[in-house]
Amino acid sequence: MKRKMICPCKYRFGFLVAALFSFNGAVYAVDATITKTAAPDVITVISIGGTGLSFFGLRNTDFPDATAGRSMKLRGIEWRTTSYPQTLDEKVELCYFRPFQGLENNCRPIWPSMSGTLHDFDDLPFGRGASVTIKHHVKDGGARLAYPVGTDSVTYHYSY
Amino acid sequence: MNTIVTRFSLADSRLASVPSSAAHSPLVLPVDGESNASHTEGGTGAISTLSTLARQLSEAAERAEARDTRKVTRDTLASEAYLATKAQSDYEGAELLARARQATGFIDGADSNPFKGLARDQLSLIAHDEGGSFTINERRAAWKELQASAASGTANTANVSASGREIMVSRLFLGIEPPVAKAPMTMLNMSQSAYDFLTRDDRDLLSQMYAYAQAQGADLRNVDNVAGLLGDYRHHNDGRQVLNANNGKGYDLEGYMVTVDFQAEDAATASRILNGSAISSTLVDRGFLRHFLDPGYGALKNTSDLAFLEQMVIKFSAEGAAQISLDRKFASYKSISINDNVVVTTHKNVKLHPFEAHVTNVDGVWTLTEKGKAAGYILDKTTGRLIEPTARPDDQAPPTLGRESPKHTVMDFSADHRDPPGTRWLKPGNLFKLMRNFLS
Repeated sequence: MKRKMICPCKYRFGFLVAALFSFNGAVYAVDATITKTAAPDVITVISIGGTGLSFFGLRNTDFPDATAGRSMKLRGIEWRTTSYPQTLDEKVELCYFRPFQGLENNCRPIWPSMSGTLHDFDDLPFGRGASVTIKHHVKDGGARLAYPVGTDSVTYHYSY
Repeated sequence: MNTIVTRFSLADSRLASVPSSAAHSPLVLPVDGESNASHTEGGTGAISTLSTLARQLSEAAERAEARDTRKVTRDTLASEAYLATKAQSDYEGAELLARARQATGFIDGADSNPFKGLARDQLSLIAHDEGGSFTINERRAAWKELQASAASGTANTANVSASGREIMVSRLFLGIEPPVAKAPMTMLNMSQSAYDFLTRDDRDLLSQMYAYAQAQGADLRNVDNVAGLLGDYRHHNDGRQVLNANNGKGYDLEGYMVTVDFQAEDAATASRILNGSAISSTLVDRGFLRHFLDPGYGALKNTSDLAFLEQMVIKFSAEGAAQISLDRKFASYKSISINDNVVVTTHKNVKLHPFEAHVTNVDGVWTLTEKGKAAGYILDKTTGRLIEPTARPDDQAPPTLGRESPKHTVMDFSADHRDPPGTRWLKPGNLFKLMRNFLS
């Protein structure tokens, strides 16, 4: 009976290709952060209330050169919010938009004048073109124009 | 402080043990001139002696009960029984078709409502039935009739309804009612008024709420608040875009997990609404109620108390007739800051290690952190690139190459070890060089 011998050396290229695909390039050597600060809009408050947004989009220049073409992993989003003291019923939410996806987002309610870290979006795609928007919604508190008392800020924690 | 378990979760059925008044109400068969009661088929079993509508109502009641008790089996059996019986009678098919057409005509304004005169609990069964026995337009027609009868406790339904609509349009839309805006929330419509996303049925119901609240001398901001919450739910694609704040992924800056809840009084109110009998027949969207009354979704959006919402759920349900007047406390609106109205629990036993970066970019300014310095990195402040002076050149692979060191396997690297950067020489970019060396 003839037994067919398998020589590992013949298949080493296949092994390497298989290893490459299972590897998926997810080796992250550097931990980094990007912090952005912005004042949300001045809100013209009418009887039905009003909305002020602060936008924190990520551009090429926000990332090190070395990240070009490399896989990046979001590790958390740290947030700090301001508030509109002249208004009533202020509600705040943080919405994450995947890279270049202005239509797809998930939002999470947060607080005015508070801070925290969210890990809701860690498994979503991250990189250039991703963004966070903080939305403040207020109701009429007597002032026609409502000004934020400070700024909102977002810090993206990521690895590459 | 130890972990405090969230007070209640809506993932399980809170209605499981609560009998539904609608589901358990004895069915009153129509005895007027409607065709439903007049056609019987003798000798084909007990069920065939009932009218088509009565049997549909019975099946809808069973489905309602199954929904409440999560007895899916019964629901399925009811559907099978329905389908089997339906196939027996061509006449019934014609009758069903005629009524469906009448309902469509009613919705289009060309015909009368086929369900006019039915009891409220029967209307509620039809409107909420998702078993397929009734067409969408039939359900809408039942819903319209239910709404028309909801304000029957007042002197003049038509006048009150018209007045309520005017109030609703004035308060929510500044006098000009827009078409229903389409969810989901996107970057383009984030600033749009949440009221624009209220559906036609929402607007009809809110009109009745305004009429009722005004007649009762209530502060109409109480209704505004309900409208805002419902509109926000619609804006977020019926809540599907909102993440639960109690999902274990929210932390304070010290790394401790944080959860939120309603104040005790509101938590009790939420429990009463969700476990009460009115929820099974209320016109207030039950999906909205279950969403908003989950503290993970609602606690950070609740800037009043839930008592007025509870009154509306009851008033616009099959039990509404028993609620004659609103409490005097609703003559004013209670606005409470979110930060004063939410119970925040910090779980000291659940802590994440703080994220320590090698390099930071704060509003465009690159900085090498102590951790980065300790790892031997040098920062190019123009590009943010980290240079590792001790790093081996790309074309000089280390002698181990992942073969001799038992720790340097592909699996080890994919496990995302937090090794010092100096030892983490394997990168996607030079993996091909590794392959080339390996093959040569």
